[in-house]
Amino acid sequence: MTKSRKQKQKKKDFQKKRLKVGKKADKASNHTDTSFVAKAISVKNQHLEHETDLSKRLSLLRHHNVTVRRETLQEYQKHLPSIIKTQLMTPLLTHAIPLICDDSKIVRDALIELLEEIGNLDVHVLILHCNIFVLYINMAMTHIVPRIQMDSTRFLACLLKYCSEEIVRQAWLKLLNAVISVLGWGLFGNNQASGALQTKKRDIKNTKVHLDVLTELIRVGCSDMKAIAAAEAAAKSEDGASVDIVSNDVNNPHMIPDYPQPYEYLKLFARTLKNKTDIQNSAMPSSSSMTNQDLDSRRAIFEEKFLQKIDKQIDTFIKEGGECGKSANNLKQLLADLFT
Amino acid sequence: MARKGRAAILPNNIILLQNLVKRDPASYKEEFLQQYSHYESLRDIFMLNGMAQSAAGDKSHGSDGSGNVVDTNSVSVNGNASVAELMELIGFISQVCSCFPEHTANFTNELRQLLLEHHQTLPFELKEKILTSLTMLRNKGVISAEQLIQTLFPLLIAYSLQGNSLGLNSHARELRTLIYNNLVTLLKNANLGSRNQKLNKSTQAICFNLLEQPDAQGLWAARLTRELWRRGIWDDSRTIEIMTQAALHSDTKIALAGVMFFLDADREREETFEDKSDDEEGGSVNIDALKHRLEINKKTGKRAKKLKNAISTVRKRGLKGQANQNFLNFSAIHLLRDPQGFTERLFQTHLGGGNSKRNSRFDLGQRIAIMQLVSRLIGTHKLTVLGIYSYFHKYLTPKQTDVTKVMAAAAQACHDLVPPDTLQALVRRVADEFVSDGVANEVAAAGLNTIREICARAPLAIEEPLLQDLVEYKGSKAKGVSMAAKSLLGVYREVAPEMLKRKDRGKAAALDVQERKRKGGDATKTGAPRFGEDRTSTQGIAGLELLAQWKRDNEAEGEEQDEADEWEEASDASGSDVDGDWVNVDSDEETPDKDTDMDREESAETQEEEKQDPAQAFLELAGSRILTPADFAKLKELRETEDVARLMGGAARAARGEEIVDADRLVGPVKYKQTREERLAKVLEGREGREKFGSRKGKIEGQHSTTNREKQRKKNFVMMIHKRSVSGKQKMSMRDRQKVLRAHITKQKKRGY
Repeated sequence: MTKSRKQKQKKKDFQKKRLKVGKKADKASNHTDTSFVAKAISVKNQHLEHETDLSKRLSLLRHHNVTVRRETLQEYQKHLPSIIKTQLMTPLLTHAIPLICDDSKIVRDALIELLEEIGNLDVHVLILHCNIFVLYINMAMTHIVPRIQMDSTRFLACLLKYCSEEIVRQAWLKLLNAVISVLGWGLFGNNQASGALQTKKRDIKNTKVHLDVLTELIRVGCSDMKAIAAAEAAAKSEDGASVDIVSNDVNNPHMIPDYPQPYEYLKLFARTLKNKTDIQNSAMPSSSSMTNQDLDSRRAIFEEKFLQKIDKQIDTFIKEGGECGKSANNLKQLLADLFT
Repeated sequence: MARKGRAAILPNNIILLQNLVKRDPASYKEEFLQQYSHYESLRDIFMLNGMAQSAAGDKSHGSDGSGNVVDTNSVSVNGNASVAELMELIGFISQVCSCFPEHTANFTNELRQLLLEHHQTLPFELKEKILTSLTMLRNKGVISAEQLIQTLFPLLIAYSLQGNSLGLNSHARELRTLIYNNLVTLLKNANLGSRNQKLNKSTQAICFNLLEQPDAQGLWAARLTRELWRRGIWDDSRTIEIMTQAALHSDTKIALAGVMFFLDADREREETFEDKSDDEEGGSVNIDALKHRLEINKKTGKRAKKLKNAISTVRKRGLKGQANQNFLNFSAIHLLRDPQGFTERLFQTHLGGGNSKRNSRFDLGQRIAIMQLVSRLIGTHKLTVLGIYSYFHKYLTPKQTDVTKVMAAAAQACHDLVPPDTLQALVRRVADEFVSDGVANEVAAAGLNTIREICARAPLAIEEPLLQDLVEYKGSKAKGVSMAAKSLLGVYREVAPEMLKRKDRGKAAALDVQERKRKGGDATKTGAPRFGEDRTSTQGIAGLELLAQWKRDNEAEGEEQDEADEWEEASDASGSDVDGDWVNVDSDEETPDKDTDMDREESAETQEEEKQDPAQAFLELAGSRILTPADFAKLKELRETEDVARLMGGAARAARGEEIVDADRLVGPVKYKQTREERLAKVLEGREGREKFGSRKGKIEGQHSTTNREKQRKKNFVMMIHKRSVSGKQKMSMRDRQKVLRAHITKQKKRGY
């Protein structure tokens, strides 16, 4: 009987192969031909020092995987001491700062750690990027996702720790507004239905952070840090140094100021939308950047706009007591010290 | 369980928040303000990034340091990340910003500024989003239409410039279409109920300004104007002024856009409106009555077909008139403020001047388009631009490309107020170049048709000897040529029969001439056209003499007898040189029975009466009584009848000036020898639907029993093999076998197998 070709092939598979003397055995079915015909083999140079080239990893900060982002941050943190003085810091920060608004908490935590580390190593790096920080923190504070909003004050706290003066000089009013709205105190009209107010009751821990940050912000913004530092120095040395330092400001009004971007308010290099100023001039004259510059105007604005509102809100916290009550008490103390 | 408060529906995405804010703006004010400040900070970040990006771009142009590359990358990618969020927020705020007008007063301005000043650095998606948001804001009434137009126009210009559109990822084309469509819909909506004259004027002012600039930006103004004209949104003379300016522009594209507008726009607009108006008027009864009256004369199928065509033409004309009454319908050419000046400048700048270097901007097709426009303007408004006629001389040779179009333009440019010697030169040129024995039939036909068109407009354009020569072509063997010559003859029979030879004049014309002679005085002086004479305009009410005639007929039937007698005498007198074929009057001179032949007599009388006294009829009728609506209805019917009769007679129509000369018709009917396939197709087409008249041979329809032949075929082989009819065949002689085979073959062939 004739069988079909397929049947024959199938049968062949199960037949035992006879080995014959003087003949090579058949190749196995999974045999791979590894022979090649080439005159020369070119092997690419091995890229051995890829680990040192950290700039390649910058794009990983935008990786879709949470773990990758966090690990990249930690990686950078590990290498910080070696790169802190290099050109790499600016791209690193421009990539890392948007992570303030990252969705996952672990990434944000890692970012805070990284920033702390940078602050420890070199404060000036942070000071240089202050304006971007302020923008992104502000964005986070108005973010629609509550957790990001809650965490935003922690970043602000971190910054206040290292470059407090720069921050209040740049964005005193903006940040004050933002923190108060995070607290849910409603600058624009106290709205009880506000979402922030509702969530506030739930997590006391976060509220405490907010209150602490607010206290710190007001303390930095409304008190003369230089004078305090000078007084301390004077107390330590008990020389006439304090007089020198104080008179330094008075005597050298024509020297270049010692903080970065002193003439920023002229907006020589800034791209802003022009017509914004028209409205601001009429409605909110106080918010232009000039008013953030010196201590007196800051105090005046605070006293005029925020003092009463904060006082009123603090009292309720103090009555409730607990952790928040303690922080609120600190704030009240500070306000009493500053504005009496 | 604790009661779920509002916190339960706290929004954590933008869409949800948008929904909530729209429902209850007051309660969600705080959230909205939060998002608004979020937008502000995002915008600031975006501005910062954009600045860095452009700065990086400049840097990389200057020096390509490796350090910069990282920077550029980082910033640009950062920008992309925030674009989506920014777009979402812009959409959100523009949706709800009408709820919080005092807080978002600046928002629209910011958007406009972002678009106008930074459009080069914005990504395409964002630009698109801002555009749609602005349109939405306009629909919500937050910004005015003027503001939106002032934003859109500069963008449109910016993106039609070379520099911008060549940039990488600029999406210039998409943006242009988006903006353009937005503009058109905006203007359409603004003019929906009543005309928004303020907006129209400001937009037209922008168009004027654009066209004043020497570069190609004005093209958008021309395009926009044409589109709006087509839709009937702009239909005033200011619009036409814009297009006049465009047509005279020094840029080739814009000038052509203007020219094509004047040539095509009205047709386009009519097409647009024809789609909309599909209501059949109730005039079908009227037409039916008319058909019935003319059916009495019907004798052949051809004549019936002709009648049908004539009726459909008349009806179409009426329909068109009705449809267009709905809006202010002046054609673009009629709305011109200064046609003479415009035409002269058009001719001077684009065609004339003899400066060939300047003319070389346009290729031949474009020059022909300009010629068409100029001649149409001249024909419509009866302008005097004498340069154009000598300009045509250059192009009027049979070998010229598209010469029929030039010829059509030349004919179009003629009217009766042009000095005859100018036109005579033109006609002489056409006759010399085209009409001679040595040329092809089509060429001669085209030349004759052109001359006919010219002469129908300006009867004095030809001298008598030339005309008589040309009419001789009516005996030509070629159908197109003889038709063309006959049509020329027909024109002159109506207009100036004196210029024809005596035998060519035809019956009616000859009658006229004789009548005039008999009445005394100089025949040629009264009948022949003179230069500058106004023949076309009607005085009083058009067709009133028809009504008067009809009334008189109805009132007094007894008088008819006398009139008919008179008529008979006249026809007898001129019976010698009757051609018979061409005239509408049927040969009924010898009919004695007047009462039965009402119709024919009426038509005969009409012809006589019409020529004598339209003015008198006006005095008689309009002076004595007031016309009622019924009178006007009757008048309309009578005019329709006359139209149909004239169309059937094939005589030339009266008002020619505005009619467009069709270049394709000038050549006349050209019949080439058909191929076999074409002939076959035509034959088969004729057989369609006529199966029942064909032969039924070999076709068996329906159920039937087995035929003998089938039975014979199917019979078993074994049963048949012994029969003599089979086995005998083997025993046949060679000769017999051959005979049988031959007979079989012929029989099969005859049966058709």
